[in-house]
Amino acid sequence: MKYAHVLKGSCAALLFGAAALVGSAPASADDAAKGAVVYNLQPVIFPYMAAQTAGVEKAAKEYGVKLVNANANGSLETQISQLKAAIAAGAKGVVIQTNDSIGIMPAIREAVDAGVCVAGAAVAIGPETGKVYPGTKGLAAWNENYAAELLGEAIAKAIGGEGDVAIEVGLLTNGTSKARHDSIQAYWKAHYPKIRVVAVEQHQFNVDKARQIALSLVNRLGDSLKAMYIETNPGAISVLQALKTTPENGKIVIGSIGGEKGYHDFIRQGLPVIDVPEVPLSEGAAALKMVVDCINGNKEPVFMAEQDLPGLTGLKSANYTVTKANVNDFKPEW
Amino acid sequence: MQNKNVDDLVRSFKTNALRIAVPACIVILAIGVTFVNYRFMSVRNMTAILYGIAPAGIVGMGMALLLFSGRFDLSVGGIAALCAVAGARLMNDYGLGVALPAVVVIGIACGAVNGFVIFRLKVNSFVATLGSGYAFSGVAAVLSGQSPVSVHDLSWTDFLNFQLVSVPVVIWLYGAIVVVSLWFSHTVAGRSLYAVGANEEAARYAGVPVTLVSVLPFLITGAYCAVAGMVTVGYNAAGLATTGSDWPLTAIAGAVIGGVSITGGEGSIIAAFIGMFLIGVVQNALVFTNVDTNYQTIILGFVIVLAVTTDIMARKRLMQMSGRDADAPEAPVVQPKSTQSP
Amino acid sequence: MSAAPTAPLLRIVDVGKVYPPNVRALNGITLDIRAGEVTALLGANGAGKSTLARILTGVERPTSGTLHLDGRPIELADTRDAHRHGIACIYQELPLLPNLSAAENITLGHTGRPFLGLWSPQPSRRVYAELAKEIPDAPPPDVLVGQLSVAQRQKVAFIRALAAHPRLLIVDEGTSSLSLSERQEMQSLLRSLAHARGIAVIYITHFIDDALSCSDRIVALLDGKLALDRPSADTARADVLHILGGGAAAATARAEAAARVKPVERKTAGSGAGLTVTNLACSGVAPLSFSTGVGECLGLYGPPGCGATEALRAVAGLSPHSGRVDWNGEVLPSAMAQRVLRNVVYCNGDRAKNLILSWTVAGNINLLYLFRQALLSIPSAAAARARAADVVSRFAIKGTPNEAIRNLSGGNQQRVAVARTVSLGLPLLLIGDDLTRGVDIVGRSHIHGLLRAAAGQGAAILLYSSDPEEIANLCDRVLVLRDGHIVDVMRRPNISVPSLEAAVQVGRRAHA
Repeated sequence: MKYAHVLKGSCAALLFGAAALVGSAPASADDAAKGAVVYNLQPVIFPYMAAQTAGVEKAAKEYGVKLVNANANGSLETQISQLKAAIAAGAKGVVIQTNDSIGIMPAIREAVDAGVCVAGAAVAIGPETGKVYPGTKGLAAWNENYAAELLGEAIAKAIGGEGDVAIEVGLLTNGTSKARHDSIQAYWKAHYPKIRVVAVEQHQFNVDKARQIALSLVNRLGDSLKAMYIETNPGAISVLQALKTTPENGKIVIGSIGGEKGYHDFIRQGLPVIDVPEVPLSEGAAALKMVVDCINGNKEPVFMAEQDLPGLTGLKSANYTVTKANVNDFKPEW
Repeated sequence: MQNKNVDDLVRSFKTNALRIAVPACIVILAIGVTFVNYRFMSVRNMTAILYGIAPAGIVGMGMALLLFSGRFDLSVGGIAALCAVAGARLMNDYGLGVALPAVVVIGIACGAVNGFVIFRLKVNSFVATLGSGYAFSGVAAVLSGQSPVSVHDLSWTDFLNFQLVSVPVVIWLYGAIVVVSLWFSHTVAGRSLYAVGANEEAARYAGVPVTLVSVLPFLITGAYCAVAGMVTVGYNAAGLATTGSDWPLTAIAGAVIGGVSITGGEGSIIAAFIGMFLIGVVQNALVFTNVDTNYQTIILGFVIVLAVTTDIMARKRLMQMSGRDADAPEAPVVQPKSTQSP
Repeated sequence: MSAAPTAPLLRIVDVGKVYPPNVRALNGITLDIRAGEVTALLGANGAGKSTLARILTGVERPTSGTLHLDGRPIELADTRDAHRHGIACIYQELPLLPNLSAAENITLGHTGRPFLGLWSPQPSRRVYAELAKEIPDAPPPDVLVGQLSVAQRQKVAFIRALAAHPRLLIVDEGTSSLSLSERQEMQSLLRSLAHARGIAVIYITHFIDDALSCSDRIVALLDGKLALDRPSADTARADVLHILGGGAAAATARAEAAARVKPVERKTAGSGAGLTVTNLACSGVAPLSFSTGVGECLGLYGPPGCGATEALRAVAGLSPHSGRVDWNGEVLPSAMAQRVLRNVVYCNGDRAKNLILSWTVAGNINLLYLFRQALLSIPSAAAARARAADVVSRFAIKGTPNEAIRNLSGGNQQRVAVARTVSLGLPLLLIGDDLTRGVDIVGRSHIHGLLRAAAGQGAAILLYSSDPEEIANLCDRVLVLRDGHIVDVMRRPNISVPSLEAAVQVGRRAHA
């Protein structure tokens, strides 16, 4: 079963991650990384990336690394040229949240061949989610399949395992959106055959669209709609605000993946809202640490699964899912 | 004389038929969807459509005034983002009473910047507002510290969502903006916008202070962007620097679908409002009929192109059917003898 | 000059054109066009001469009748067909591309090069140089057309038409923006093309005297029918004038219309009344000082490029200027809108610039009054209706207030522009910039009547015209300009077409 397989993989990753954490505490690091230039490449300026950058910056300070931040404004070409510039500038390491997990591959290969230590954060490099791209040092991210399955399970429980649900993803051409969408559908199909996906919409990461689509869905389906999976927390927030004007307010379960403060406020208000959180600060710090280890000579690849990052370990007993029962156990990182 | 009047009638019918072709198709579509799902034509769903389009629709009213004058503003998204972020911060620090007027001032100031670049530095409105839009959203990103500015006090959100006569306040606000725009379009300043849009040179000769009246809709649009930005602050309980990224297109498309001419000089506020509403109807109907979202984008794009095409066709027909300039070499002479110089 | 005894090059047989639903623009025109002859085609606006030209150049197809070239029937499906048959046309609106050189302009469209053939400047220069030999003072091949004067552009248009080696050349009102001497130069060119090279020339014009002096034959249209077809030598000016005036019925109507222009009591002005211009300078205008008073019609006259238009536009507030413009004892503010509010109003000869052609007559009339109301007030629809109806009836405009203004004839459109200005009342400075350009003589006489009446009531009128006859008809005083300088001042009764032309010539010499 896929679920079990993923869990097994995660356990292995947990071991690797723990080993990495122990193996290279700041005290025992040799000085190769001190003063080394490391680039932090982000796809756009967006709150999530800002938090991740803050994590990278914090860790860079800790390890005495010289950090250069760059954002590609949503353009793959820009990100590739930034990566090449990093190589040319003699960077020892790169932390990257890639703009296009497939398109960036040749440039990553070039960096690896040039001896640059590359670590991914939040988004896997290459076609597979939750995998360390060959030759790179590591990755700190959710296995999106796993995250979607966690959310699928939580939503299913909240609606009693049956009923009509709707999905609002960002864009199905986006690797992350697609992995989450495919996995949650597959998971329901395998485990909760009485859950029926009655609509799949794309809000294109636009909160206005997310709101309009959700209102249309609620009006179309009326009482029969039991739950909605809405990709990205900001999208889910705008939907929740709009639902306040409808009689369905508080009756429809909303699930999302994100870990944003404002979204968790709705959980605190007692609404049937579920989150599988992400922890960008921890991701950034972990990725930078991988790069530092690599510069210091430890080339062993590492996958830090999101659930093993320090910000999330407290949620283990809750299946890494935040609901109103445990909302106070989790501290949002963005 | 008789023939001429009949001809006039036929002509105006044909022209208007073209103009209302796209709206008519959408209404027919809406009726069809109602048969598929009776909930579609409910008051509730129509209210939801208005709720959804309200922010872009408010901006669309300003855009319509600009289109009358033959110009447009691509920076509306940027202004709204700036106002949303600034508004959210001001609300947290000083409360709604300060935030609301301050944001309107910011919006008008942004409009004034556009006006200055276009009319003093003589940059065309396309380039000027495309550039300034980037600048405004850049400022918004900086002001937001690159994360959503969450609003602590949700009274503004609750106020917008408050059901006044079973309609959320935000829709009343949208209605008020429509009424104000309608009034403005009928004032001396508003009427002169049509003149400027139809023939700027002729308007100037007739004593229209062209620069003054052309700047006004930029200022009004700025103010509307501020209101729309604040509406999104209410909707999202936060000021987002990404607010309104697709509003320039939506606002122009809405007006054009309603029958506002993209080349200036023609259209009405009511038409622009109806066009914007119809965009909401199409989006909503596509969700109701469970059309694949990729096709939704295709269909919406097609509707916009169709609306622009019928606008141009209607304009051409008007040129052909009504009197052609007797002396123009390319256009045939169809002066009915009765109106000729004797 | 008698007609050559050859068979006609082109026979137009019973040609008619009906526009839907039933507007008869041409009605049974039968006409022979001979090689080696200049045929002048005359007619009032809307008489059908432009339609006929469009049929001959393949822009439109006749609804009845046939064309025979060299005795064989031909069909002209489009302009390319016409080109193939050796028919070329020079339009009044000069469709040349200002951003290309003179040589490049002539090889557009008919060079015989393959569609995707590479472009090179050499062939066009060669062709241009070859053809330019026949045209006196032709502009050099590499100068941009946008930088040429109207007269020089006309020459480029000629060269462009000759590049197709035409057998029939149609010249449509080619002279309306040329000075008398330039027109004469062009007419001698037309004659030499016809007589020396054997080209058939159809010359479409408003100017009767031009037509009589340069053509071999006069053809006049009236309401889509052939009204006159006679050798020029046997034609009396009065006959043509009668046809151009629209026949007997029109003459009566004109008299009635003139009678309907209500006289208004002439007001006397106080001291300082009128326009005083002191050291006005702007691009193309050397510092000028002049003044005009109540009831005077002051003309500015000179060859194209003399600065008259620029000076008028500066006085109107359309273009920035240095110097001082006083109106009724007050320095005028620089903004045009402010000047219009003080009844200093500019009217352009280009109707498409003067009026909003997509609007109604009433809309155009009321536009001038729009900003006499508060910016945020809602203009009264009833007042606007009344005003439009008043202007339409008082100034005898053919048409109803709610009619689209583009439905009106050119002359009538221009009348609306002048009438709405005069309706503002006194004090009034009306600035006319070649007001009757392209207007037929009926429309022209109406507008002249309006201006005279306005001046009679106490308006000041400042006028430029490319037509010396118009200046001679209207003006009490004329400033003759050349290169932005006043080179002569003339007063009634010494103003006449010859004296104006002479002043320009003398001025030219004095200035050089």
